[in-house]
Amino acid sequence: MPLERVLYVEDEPDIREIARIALVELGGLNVDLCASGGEALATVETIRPDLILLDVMMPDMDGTETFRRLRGRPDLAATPIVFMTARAQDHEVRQYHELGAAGVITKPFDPIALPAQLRALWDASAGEHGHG
Amino acid sequence: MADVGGLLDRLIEKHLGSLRAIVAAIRGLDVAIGHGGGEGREAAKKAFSLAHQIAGAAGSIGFAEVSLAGRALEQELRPLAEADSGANPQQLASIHALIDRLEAVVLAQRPETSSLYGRQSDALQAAARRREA
Repeated sequence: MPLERVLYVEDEPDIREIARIALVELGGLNVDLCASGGEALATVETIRPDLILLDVMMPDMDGTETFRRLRGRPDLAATPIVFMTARAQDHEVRQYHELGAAGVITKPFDPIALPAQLRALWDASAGEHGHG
Repeated sequence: MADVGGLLDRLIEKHLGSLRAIVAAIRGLDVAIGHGGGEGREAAKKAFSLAHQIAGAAGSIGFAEVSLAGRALEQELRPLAEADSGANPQQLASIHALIDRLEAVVLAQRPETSSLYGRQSDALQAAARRREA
């Protein structure tokens, strides 16, 4: 099954917009945008993303806490979650993988390459868990 | 089909305004960072968060030099934002210099200095397809 629907959680509006342009206009993906972890948790009550792309440094609920809460839902237990963050030193990346992240994309990111990066992570995740 | 180049150009112009506003906000925290104590820590935390925002966003919107200047300031502020200790005179001097540098770099930017500005939609879409292949 190809990657079709992405939920992107990011508090910074200009980053949300550049990612939207990259994923929707260049990558042909369906994207739901959320500005906070709380909004993401409310959104997954009504939509089922194939993959979740998650910022780390967000006010109120940070990315790792949002990750834990999303992952705690049985319906999202197998959904690949990818962190997109500037906090990507070796020890931080190791922590994200230990948490169960499907991948880490470092900010700043190349918007032209972003759709291919996500599809590659989706494919790699399919190898591990299957995607229907 | 959307005019991707036009969408990007408008975002770049908007982002340039945001960058200038964020740098002004960091400049406004400059003196408070030097006060030390709770006020200095809070100012350092806010400035750290703003520098982090610049480092991540500007680079993704084609302003690589701004991103690097933001990252340098973020790294210098990190120990102050994450610890209880105040800044020593050497750290303060370095922070002031990095704020000056960031401000100068941001003020020198124009929309066309973004590596994404003025790109034609079909060229952008072809580049994305090549990355997919």
